[in-house]
Amino acid sequence: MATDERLAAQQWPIVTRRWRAFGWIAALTTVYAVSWQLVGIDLGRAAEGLPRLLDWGARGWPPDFSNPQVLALRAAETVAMATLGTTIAAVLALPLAWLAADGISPSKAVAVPIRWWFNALRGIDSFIFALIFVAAVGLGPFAGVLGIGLHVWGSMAKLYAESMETANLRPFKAAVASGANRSKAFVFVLLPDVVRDLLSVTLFWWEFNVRASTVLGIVGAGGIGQMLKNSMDLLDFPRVVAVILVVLALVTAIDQVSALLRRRVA
Amino acid sequence: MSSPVLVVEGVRKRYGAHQVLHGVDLAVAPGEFVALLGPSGSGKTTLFACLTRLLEPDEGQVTVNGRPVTGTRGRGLAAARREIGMVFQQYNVAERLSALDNVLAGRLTHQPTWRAALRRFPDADRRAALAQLRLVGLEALAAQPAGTLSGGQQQRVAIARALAQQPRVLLADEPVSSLDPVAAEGVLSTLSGIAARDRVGVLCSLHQEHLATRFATRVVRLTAGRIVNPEPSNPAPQRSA
Ligand SMILES: Nc1ncnc2c1ncn2[C@@H]1O[C@H](COP(=O)(O)OP(=O)(O)OP(=O)(O)O)[C@@H](O)[C@H]1O
Ligand SMILES: [Mg+2]
Repeated sequence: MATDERLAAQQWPIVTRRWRAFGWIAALTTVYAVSWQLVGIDLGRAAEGLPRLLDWGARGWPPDFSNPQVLALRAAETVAMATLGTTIAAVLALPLAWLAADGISPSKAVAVPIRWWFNALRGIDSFIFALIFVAAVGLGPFAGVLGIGLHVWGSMAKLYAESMETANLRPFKAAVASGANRSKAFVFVLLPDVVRDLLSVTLFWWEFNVRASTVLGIVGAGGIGQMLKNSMDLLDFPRVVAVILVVLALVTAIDQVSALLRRRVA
Repeated sequence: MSSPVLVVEGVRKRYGAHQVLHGVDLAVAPGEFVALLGPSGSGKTTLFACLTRLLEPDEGQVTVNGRPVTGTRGRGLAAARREIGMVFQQYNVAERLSALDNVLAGRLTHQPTWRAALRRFPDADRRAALAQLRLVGLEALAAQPAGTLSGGQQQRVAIARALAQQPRVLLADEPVSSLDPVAAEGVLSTLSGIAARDRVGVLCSLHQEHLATRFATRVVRLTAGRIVNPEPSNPAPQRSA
């Protein structure tokens, strides 16, 4: 009796799998169709805009590198914003990461609300924070530093906690089993074991923040982004091209430095 | 016989449906070297984890030097744990810390947190840690990161760490399984010396019957989740080959 039934049972999954594939294709098609409609893609407008872009590019040549000290100052301001913001975030992130890390935290009761706090910070982009701080503390890089610091605080703390949780916890547990409390076991045994990972995470976010803070000027938070915005408003294309080239050089240089440092600590 | 430093009563532990410990009873007196024999998977590591409450026993009591390990938390638990030195089957040394720092971790419980954070232990503790490293023959490698040591050397760092704690009870989970016969005998005679000289109660799981009978003052077996058939104790360990 059973042979036919067993064969049927074997073939059944193949049939359902085929239906499932159709389902996926239909769902994806719908998502794209709806997105296209919502965004209002208009290829005609792209075709009209393209020559205009090319024209601006042509008018932007040769780039205007006059007042190089101002360009350099704004670039330095951007790096300074990223560096201070990252440092603030790191200093705030380390203790909270410790309190939130599973199996390491001295108290489970605080770990959960702290993790909600991380998610809240991560959910709001540094751009939005900067916008709020520009309104609160006024225009300039200080607002940018606060924006970067707050947003990245959550992201860094989350990654710090993950590096701690995925480290080898056995020596830490051994110290706890010997009667040391979790704080002592953490600072003496676990922290030195993970400090390189934490540094590497920090450098990654520093690099990320340099890139992010090139944009922050657009909301008035200082740095080279602000120059880009000003030149754009004046339709000063040679200056725009110069600023973009400086941003590219800056980001490339920071990537190299960060990669080098990370190789050093690894 | 003096009153026991380690008392285990009715310890039960199960993983899901698998009952590993069916009520373990055991007492270890100061100066005793008790060898725990039992086939692989019989629950030796589980028992040790329950004794320090790294694993929560389902039932039963553990007392060390008169202090309850079970049924306490916070400072009470820390005070009891301080009396128990543990040598883990997988050493559990911190690989990026030097051998000396690993041994100092055994002194952590006696230090205020600021000393732990600044990594500044009193000279007396550093000297004691170095002395333990000398005892296990690793003084020359004190500054080397523990992760770069051989398995046997890491095992000896773990022993030195447990001894640095100056415990009243020493638990050693197969401390010689990764050592060659000569090194194994060295480690076991160190442990039996600590029992005899410092009046520490030693409980040591082993796989090799002949090492157990040679070094231990008493041999017990873990079978079907219980300690069975405690053999009559030797008045003194037999050191002859
Ligand atoms: N976390 C766990 N979850 C489920 N079962 C476990 C767990 N840890 C141990 N066990 C089971 O409990 C039993 C006892 O394991 P344990 O490690 O205590 O044995 P052991 O006597 O130390 O063995 P060995 O001599 O090989 O070290 C084994 O059957 C094991 O599979
Ligand atoms: Mg084991």
